[in-house]
Amino acid sequence: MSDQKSVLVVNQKAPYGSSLAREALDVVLTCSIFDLPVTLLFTGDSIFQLIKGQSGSEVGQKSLDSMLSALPMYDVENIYVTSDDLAKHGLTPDDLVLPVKSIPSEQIAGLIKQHSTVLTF
Amino acid sequence: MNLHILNKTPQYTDLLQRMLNASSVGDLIILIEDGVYHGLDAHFPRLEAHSKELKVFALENDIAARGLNDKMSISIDIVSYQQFVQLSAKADKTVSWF
Repeated sequence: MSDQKSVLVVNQKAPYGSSLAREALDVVLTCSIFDLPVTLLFTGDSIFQLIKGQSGSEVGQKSLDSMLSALPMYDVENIYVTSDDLAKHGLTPDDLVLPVKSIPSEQIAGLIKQHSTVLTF
Repeated sequence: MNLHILNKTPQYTDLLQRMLNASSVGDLIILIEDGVYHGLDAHFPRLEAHSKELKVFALENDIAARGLNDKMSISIDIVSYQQFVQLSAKADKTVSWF
């Protein structure tokens, strides 16, 4: 294994119902600021975080989709969703606020192997 | 007539089942917070799969927050917070499922 450190952030929770989505994003931005390669995976309910047209102010929070759409400005471009979960929710990449790479859930293990640290939210 | 309040996503399958089992004919269900995701066309059939004539409502603020305004099943009545309060007042009991 190389000495290059890299972080995989695995999201699993829907937005607004808990603070986990915001906390994960804070970690991702922190990695980026410190030039630590970071990959983001949205699986299960967390795919809901990417739905465009959110209006967080309706529940007294900032809109998560606008914050996520800024990720490419922080050079965070390795963003994955699990294709089976996307289909399970009846969503397509057009519903999402960012371009994402779609992988089947079976490939999560492989993605984990490619990173030195995994953080789950 | 009871009002059941569901605030978790469809991922929580046991919770949904327990709520449906615990309902009586003519009860009402309101989806709030993360529960509004049950209203997506891909998930609503599981909520509808009962024979107890349960009318389903969902809270408009939680739907709008999550960007679901054009994604909710048409069988659901979208209500304001004020209407949620009125539903709670009319019900014999409210039962929360979280």
